Amino acid sequence: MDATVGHPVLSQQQAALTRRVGSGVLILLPLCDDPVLLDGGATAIWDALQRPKTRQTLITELSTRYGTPADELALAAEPVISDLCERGLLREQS
Amino acid sequence: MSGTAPSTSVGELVRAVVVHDLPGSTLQLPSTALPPRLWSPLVAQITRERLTGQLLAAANQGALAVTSHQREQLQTRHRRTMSQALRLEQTLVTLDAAFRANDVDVRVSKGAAVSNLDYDGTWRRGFGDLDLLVRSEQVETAQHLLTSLGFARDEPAPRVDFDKRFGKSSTFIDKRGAEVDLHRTFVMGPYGLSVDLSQLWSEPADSFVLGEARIDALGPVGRLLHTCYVAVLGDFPPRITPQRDLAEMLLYGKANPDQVTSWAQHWGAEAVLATAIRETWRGFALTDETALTVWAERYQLTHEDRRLLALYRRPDAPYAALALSSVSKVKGVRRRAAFIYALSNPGPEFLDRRGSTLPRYLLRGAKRALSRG
Repeated sequence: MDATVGHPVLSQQQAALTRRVGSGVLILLPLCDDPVLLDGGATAIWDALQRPKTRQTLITELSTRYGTPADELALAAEPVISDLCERGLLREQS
Repeated sequence: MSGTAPSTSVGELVRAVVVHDLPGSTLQLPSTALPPRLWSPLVAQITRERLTGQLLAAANQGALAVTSHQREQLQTRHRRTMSQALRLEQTLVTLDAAFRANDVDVRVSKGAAVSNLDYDGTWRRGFGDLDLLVRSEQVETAQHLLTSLGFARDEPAPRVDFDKRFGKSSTFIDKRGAEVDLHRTFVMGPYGLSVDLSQLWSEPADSFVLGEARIDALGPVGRLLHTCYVAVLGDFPPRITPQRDLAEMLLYGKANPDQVTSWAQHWGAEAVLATAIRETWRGFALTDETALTVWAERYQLTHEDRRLLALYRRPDAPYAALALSSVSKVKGVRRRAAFIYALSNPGPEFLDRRGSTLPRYLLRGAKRALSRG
């Protein structure tokens, strides 16, 4: 768990079932008939959230891993994170 | 790897693909992309075996050359195979919760268990149904639960009570096409009736996590022996998948070899264990030895072993003949009488589903049993 107190924490939907497919990941949520396929940056975000963390920590971690400045990475990652949250694949809780 | 020339028949190619990452295999894959006349049947068979992950790994690791079109086709097939496995796991989570809520003990076996517990990555091994082992005395409760959850039974039992006393399994399918085999034992016929179910249940469960659920599976010894029964007594000719599972378990698994042979001996199934291992090692041209491969090579099949194996090892192994050959394995005079009565007086629903009448059913079973000595 991220140590940053008071900031919302992002986590994978715990009830999701997953399978690796090449460089992507298939995710099946409860009550859904068809799995969702994540690839590219979405897979990197999903993998990085094997343990819950704040957006800030997630961006810093990905920025270090891919050698990209944090502000550039945030620009690219934020819409993907929001999309994953909207689709119920990620949860963000205080 | 060294030794044999690259595989050129589809059967050999399938075997070479599924063991490309195992130590000690001398099977070779060709260094150039396969022509359509070999590629198409290879992909079709690998898909049927639900081992698309193995083919994709061979392509990704450069063990098998593929064109971009072939890679794309393979990725699509693999996504379908894995999607099916995920849907079945979703069903498994639901069933597991229902069984737990009703105090029904369940152990997952075969595909779902092996994929999650024995392979280095669930993507390597797909599956097309769920195999759930329940205790004999809980078979009926489990069947009622499945029905209450929208599953319909594929084929009726010969008689009331047959499933829980003598049956191998009953198959249920839901509206989405999810298939569940509810097992009491591993196979029908004499080998199924010889399994010591109390010993099987005495082994602590292995478990794996699906989402928020922890699923209990057969322990390593039970899982390995079940795999051998499927490899030898299941489909004929044998399927590749159970043999690949067995190779994985023997090379990397945690089943205690002494316990495996001890159980097999106690169940009268040493021939099943030895045959499964020998055919797997020869079929995959594996050279590395393990304690169990050494044991299997030394085991001598008896006349009785050959007779029993022959009952199963034909493409049309019939229900009635297998059942009649099981009589001597049913312990106790009363139980044996009940078994014979159930088989000789199957209910009308059972006969209807087999397109048979009682005299025709009996005659066919007797003829086949007699023809095998």
